[in-house]
Amino acid sequence: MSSENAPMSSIAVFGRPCEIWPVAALLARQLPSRIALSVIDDSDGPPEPAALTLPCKNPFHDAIGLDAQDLVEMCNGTLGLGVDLRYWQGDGSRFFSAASGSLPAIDGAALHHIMLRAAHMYEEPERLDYLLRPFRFAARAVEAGKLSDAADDPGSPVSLLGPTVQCDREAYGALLRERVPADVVQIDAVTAAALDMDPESEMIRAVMLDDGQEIAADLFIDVSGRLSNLLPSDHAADRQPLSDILAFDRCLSGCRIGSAGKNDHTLAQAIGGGLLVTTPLRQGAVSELLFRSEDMDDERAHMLVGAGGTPMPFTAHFCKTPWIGNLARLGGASAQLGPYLSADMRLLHEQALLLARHIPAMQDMAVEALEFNRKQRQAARQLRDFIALPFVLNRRGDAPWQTMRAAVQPESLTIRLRQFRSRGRFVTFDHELFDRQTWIDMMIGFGVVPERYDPIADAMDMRRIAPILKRIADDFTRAIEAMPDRREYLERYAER
Amino acid sequence: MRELPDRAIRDVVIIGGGTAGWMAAAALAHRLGPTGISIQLVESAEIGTVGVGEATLPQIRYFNRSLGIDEAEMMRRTAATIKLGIEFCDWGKQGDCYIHPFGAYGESLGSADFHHYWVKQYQTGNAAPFGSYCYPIVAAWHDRFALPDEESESGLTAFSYAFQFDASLYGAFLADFARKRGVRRIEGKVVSVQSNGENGFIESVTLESGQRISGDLFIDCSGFRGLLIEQQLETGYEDWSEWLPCNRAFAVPCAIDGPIGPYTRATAREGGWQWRIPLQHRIGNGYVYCDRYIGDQDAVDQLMNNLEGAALADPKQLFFKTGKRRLLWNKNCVAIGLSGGFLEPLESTSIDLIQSGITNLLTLWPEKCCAASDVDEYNRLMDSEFARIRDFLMLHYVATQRDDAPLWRDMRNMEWPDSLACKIEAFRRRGIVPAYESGLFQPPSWLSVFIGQNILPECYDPRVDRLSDERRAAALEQMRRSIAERVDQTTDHLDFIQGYGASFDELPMDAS
Repeated sequence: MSSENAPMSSIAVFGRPCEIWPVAALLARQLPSRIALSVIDDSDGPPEPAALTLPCKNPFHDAIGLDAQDLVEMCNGTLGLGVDLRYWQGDGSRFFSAASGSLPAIDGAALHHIMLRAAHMYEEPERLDYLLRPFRFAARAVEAGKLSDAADDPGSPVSLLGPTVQCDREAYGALLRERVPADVVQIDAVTAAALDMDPESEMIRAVMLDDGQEIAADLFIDVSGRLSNLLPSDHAADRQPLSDILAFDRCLSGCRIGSAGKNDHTLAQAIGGGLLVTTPLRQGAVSELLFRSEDMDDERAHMLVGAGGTPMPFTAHFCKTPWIGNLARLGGASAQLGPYLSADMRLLHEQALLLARHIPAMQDMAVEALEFNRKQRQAARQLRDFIALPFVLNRRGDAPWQTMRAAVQPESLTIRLRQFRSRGRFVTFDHELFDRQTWIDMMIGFGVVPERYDPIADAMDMRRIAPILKRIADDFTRAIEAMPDRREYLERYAER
Repeated sequence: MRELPDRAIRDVVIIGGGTAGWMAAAALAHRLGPTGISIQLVESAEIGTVGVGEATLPQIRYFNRSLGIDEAEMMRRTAATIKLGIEFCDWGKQGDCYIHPFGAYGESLGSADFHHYWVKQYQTGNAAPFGSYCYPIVAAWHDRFALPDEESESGLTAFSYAFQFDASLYGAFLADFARKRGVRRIEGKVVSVQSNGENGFIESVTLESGQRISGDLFIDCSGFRGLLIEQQLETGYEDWSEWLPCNRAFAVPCAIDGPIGPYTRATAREGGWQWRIPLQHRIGNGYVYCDRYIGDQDAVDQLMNNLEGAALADPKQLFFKTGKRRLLWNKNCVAIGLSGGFLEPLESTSIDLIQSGITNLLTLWPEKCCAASDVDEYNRLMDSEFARIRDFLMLHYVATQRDDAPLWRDMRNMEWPDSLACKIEAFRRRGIVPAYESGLFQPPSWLSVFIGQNILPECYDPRVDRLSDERRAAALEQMRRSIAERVDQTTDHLDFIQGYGASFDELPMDAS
């Protein structure tokens, strides 16, 4: 049997704890015993403080048998309903981004079309956002200080909720490490020093560590970028840059101990020169700042996050073909999307799930790599488009926000925005990661007013529709009143 | 209130009254009738319809349902039978037979997809045929049918179904439906088309009688000739004969002589393939072929020699060129049906493409100016649909081991489109199945053709090895037995039709 046709028998994962353990935990749970797994922590120092805001309903967590309660208990976590976006449209502006379920259509017309017609009746189409506010269930629940799981009953407005869990990233990594069985080889505190490559196939045979160990494997997974840096060829051209839209070049984070302060939900604040993401945890909070050095100096950055560390370089991008030969690059080795919506971790989750689906059967893994790369691109583009949306729609007058608004948009985002602006239609592509209503709410909340509405809405008798709309809004009001207060809910949650 | 009437489409003109024309008229009348829109359909009794699109896909049920059509009544008036899939005979090798079902195979036994567990079992030499794990296939084998239990939580017996019906009667049924909802039928032949000199938009058509019919939006359902989209607008045609070379067909109905089966059959022949579509009162038959590989006389002889009952009419010859218009929506004209493109009816996609055209048009319903954003998006969606169907159709031809005729050798050895070649390679090497959300053919469809035509994965998903051989074998056998038992409890296909109140009545339609 040639080596190409030999069964796959070993995988080595290299990376930093926060990223390596999600990948290792999933592989350990899904690989058969005949494939040996080694996990090598190649971090060069303590991780920067960071937090995650993730949907409680999460296919990645399902795959490794985790639930939100685990994260709340073990990762200094707390629950929320989304992310609070402030000042993106100028001082004082606010938009709460949340999973929104599917709002009921009336006589086949989506609610935003009906409301647009209503706004046109008063020749004030720009009132669309205002008219839709009574139907943003999650935002209203947050405003009322309420919190709940999503209801199973699809007839209940509470089914529209998509709760989120806010947790500490380092603790998250540690929790996932516990899910990795003891028989998995684990090596800590080393650095990959050199690669032993097959000169013909350009496959990696082994990785030499700085302590003299040699790690041989059939498939190498790089989650930190250190292995990639040792490759003889430069793969920079493989990067899909996003630095026009996320026009920041520095990242700084800090941790506040003690009370989380008055905010319950993750805040993403647009500020002059940067974006400040603050994630309240069960105890304390974590701030992460993306900023552009020409618009903000380090002193102000330190003041904003309350920390004295060194800002890290930030270049928004993702790789188009992260799996080359027998090296699959995931997480930070393949992308930098930043802390907004925990985009980096969400991409890592998608990549890990895809990797598990495409574990090579043989040592010739070209087909698996090709499919992984194709699907990874889809996932990365979906994530990119959604996180780019508020950046390209921002209405701030200062730097670098004006620049980001004027940036050339990815084609798929252009199609979505063009269709929505023109006729209020939401275009879907393969592998959607965010639900339709969340997109629609965000576009309208950020000032996109469709030029037209569905002709069905035009034919509606608005006198008949008005009481239906009122009934829906009243149902929402009653459902919110019946929801527990956030504090009460969290206390009950802790007792489960 | 802001007035927008000057921008809104008020007059729609549909040219052609075959299946495409009346499906479009019915859907537009149902959806847009309340807006006060005027819909006129021009057809000529002198121009025949192609009328061979008799087999459908499950999506037709959503179309009917969206119009509020009573399914039993539709079946009764169109001589419809139930379709659970398509049986393909002699495609991989002569003697092979498999069914492409409207349902999934098995249920996963772990992290990997079901077919990976079956592949490993198959490699042990101890697996039942792949079709045994698919409820609609087993039901089709036994000529059984009952409505799906939509409350059931078992994925093992979940499935969908479609119909085999007389497309002309379906057109007439929808004409009746549409006219009751205000669609105006105008008898006549179009002799000229008038366009706006500045923007090229079609303004009106003139009939032989001299009557001029104006409109804001024109839907070209005139068939292959593309009266508006091509003859007037010169849109151009993408010729896909390179990929799918069949260019002719003969069609003939025959009498029923034996069990009809709730499925369509496509049998590969020397220079193409033969269809068999059972209706309640006759069997529709046809031979699709390429004239480079077989002469007309040989083709018609092969067709007539392979009928299972007496022919009920003379064979009718059809000519076509596989491909699509460069733009299916050009200016204020949307081409739906054969005027938009043609893909051979191997997978019963003709009516589905009509349906997609109508659905996308309604979704992107324009104003009079036909904004570029709407036109571009419509064309993007339809292009994707056509291309994905094309690849799936090609798969049947290229995944063949037949060596008995030049057509099959040429197709196997030709250079395949990259989009198809990589799908085949991914499945052959590792059992990776194409999956996309917006396409017509989902993983079970691809699996049925791959495995049915002997493309078996060299390797399975390694995660399968987490399950012991004994547990895997037992679980697969349990699934196979559950499906067989469920089929045993299911009524015969024709008994279902009778019990459903769907037996064909040949009462004349309202032809007023």
